[in-house]
Amino acid sequence: MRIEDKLSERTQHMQASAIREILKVVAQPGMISLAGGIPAPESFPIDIIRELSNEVLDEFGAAALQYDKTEGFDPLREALINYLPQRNLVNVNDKTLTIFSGSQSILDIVAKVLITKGDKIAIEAPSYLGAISAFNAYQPEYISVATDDEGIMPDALEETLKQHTIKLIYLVPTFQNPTGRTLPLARRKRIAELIQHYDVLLLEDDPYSALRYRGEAVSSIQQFAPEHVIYSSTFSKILAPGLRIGFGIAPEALTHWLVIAKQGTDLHTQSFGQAIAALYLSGGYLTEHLPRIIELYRPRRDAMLKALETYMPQGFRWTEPEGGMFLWVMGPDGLDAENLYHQCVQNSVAFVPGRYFYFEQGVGIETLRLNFTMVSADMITQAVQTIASAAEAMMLSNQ
Amino acid sequence: MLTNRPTYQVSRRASYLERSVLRGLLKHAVDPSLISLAGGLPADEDLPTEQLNQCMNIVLKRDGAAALQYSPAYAALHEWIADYMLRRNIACSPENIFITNGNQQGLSILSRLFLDEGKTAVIEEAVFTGTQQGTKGVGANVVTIPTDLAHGADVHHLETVLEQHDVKLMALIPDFHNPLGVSMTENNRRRVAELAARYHVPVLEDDAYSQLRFTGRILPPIRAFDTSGYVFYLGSFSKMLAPGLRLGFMVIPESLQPKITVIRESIDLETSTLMQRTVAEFLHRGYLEPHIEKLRQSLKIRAEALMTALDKHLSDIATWTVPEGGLFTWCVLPENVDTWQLFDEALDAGVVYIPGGAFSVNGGHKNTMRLNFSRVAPETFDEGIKRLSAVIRKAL
Repeated sequence: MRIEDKLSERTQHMQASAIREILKVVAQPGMISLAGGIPAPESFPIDIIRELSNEVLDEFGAAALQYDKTEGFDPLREALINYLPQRNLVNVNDKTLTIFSGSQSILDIVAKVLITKGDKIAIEAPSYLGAISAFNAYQPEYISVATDDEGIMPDALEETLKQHTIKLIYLVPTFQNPTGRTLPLARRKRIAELIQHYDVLLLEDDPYSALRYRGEAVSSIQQFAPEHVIYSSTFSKILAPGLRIGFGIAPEALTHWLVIAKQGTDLHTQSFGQAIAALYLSGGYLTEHLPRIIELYRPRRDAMLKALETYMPQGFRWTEPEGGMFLWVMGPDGLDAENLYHQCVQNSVAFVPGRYFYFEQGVGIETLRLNFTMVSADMITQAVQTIASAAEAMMLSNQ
Repeated sequence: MLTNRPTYQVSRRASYLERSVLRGLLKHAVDPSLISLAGGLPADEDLPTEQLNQCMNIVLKRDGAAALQYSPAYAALHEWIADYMLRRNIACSPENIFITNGNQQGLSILSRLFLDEGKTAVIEEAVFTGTQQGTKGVGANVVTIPTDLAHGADVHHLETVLEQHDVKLMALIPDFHNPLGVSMTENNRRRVAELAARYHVPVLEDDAYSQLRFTGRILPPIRAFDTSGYVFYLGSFSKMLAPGLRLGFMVIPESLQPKITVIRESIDLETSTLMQRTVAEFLHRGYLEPHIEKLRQSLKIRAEALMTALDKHLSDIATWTVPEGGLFTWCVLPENVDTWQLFDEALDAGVVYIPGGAFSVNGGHKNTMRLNFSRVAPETFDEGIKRLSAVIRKAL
């Protein structure tokens, strides 16, 4: 008997995502990749982290290496309680704030606490796949809610809430992955009303809002309905992903359960990284360094928009995100972005075909996700040019 | 309408979870005004703080951004661990190693891998609450086996359970059991490996403490006797190095790497590359063995001081396991003593312990307590046990 025959039912349908496979292909040298979704290494405050890693032991001593509370390292919790109200979040206190091992961990633990097999999760389509993979382990059903250029449509959400018993709504309202869309304020307020009216919980996943290059910040949904929102964010985009530190704000009664579930998952998040993040916030280093990250990414985002405007053939549209890491290109009907991907890879340019961000088959065939944080403005221009020429050639041969 | 109080209905799985009493008691364990026999933490002075700091500096200087980016598991760490496993008689290559955020995560991953809701897992009747949370947390039905205070998990009983139930996973702590402090005999380890092969039931071997042996010979793990591929070994740097690093590993069949990677990525992607590289540097520099040797000496002195104090103050009314390593001893008091009830009085007297009932799956062991000896200064045990003895005697 093989050990493979002994695996649980829940793991049977868990498999590696197609995107993982794509990312392996595009890691080849010489490839200009707009496929990834990771921060540029030059955005990391290496010198600051080196300095802080030495300060950690002076400041906190052995506490930074000992077992710690599941809720998180107190100095980091205090620093976040001071800082997060600046990001339009409310009810941030030691009974609502929990540190997690990256924001992926929040997705997993929220699902662990809330989802019983067959429960329904409402999601926007396309959606962030890491969330789907976290939820899948708990065997939910998904209900897809219609979106337009401004993100999820509140009327469609209300219809869904009337028709189904929804256990959880999952949204990335700001600079969404993969579309780059940001939900406007009016829709956020309307969604806040809906979740309170229908007494449904919303998981507001917000990894990107600090990376804003243009325009004004939009309030979190959490601010309008704190008793119905679990808010999730991370240090991965504003400090470094290699520390694996995320944080969540949830209603007190729910935080109780999140902490218990986290005990069973990993006891607590590694203390040393939390100590570095604590000093990064409390020492004012984030305030000093974040503008540098923004200045690094802004010209890249601008270059991508300019190149799309200049080179893309007729019939293509795209989102114009004011921040984040991605934008979304929608080709004309009949365009197969996966074919386009293969054409481009031959010319050493890669992106992710948009269809992989839908959990339904046969949707989003004509869409592309482009990342604008990983390569220089010049390379972005060159890559968009390559995509545009390949698209043009494909469209001609289709005629 | 908009101000209505929400109702939070948790999942069926969450309703099986219980908050660990241990985690709640951690604040007492580190309260310097108390004599704490409650924790499971190394003494602060036994942590290799300076060396870890040096290694992190080296890593940040040498690897720069690579030490801070999303990254696959760090190959040098895999290689060191595979080599270390070979030294423990486990045939293995780097492809068999899977890095985790500590053994609790390994428990959580393997519980997901093998257990569905309502399926049966075997665990010991008195066991680390994390073992209970890991298996119950996926909704498993838990069947328990007793643990002998001299020989460890009762393998004869285990066989009966395997015969009678459709068991999907068994979890054991063969070395310096938490909370009992006992180790399984070599022969029983061999028998567990045989039973796993015969009944086709995966074994989760949770080894956090084996290297902390200060008396006698380190025993081979159950995995060393495994020829069937059914034994999953979990090792950790938490006790060997520092708990706050949250760094552990599993030895798994290579064929399961893709599946376990998918499960792991759904949970929290990966382990901090900065911590992986820092520990790999520590190991590469040969800092581990001298550090563990120092740790063993420190634990030995503390354990002896605790034994002396127990002999002096409690030998007429209590028995306890004599540890050859690890962090704990298990103390059994007269039947009519309830260590939960004594807890507050002991706290008032300035001494804390963990009531044994906190580890009991079925609600027994009310007259027992777990005593930790890794954190208290050797000269303090006498006073601690004296106070404890006075509290216990009042209740007799």
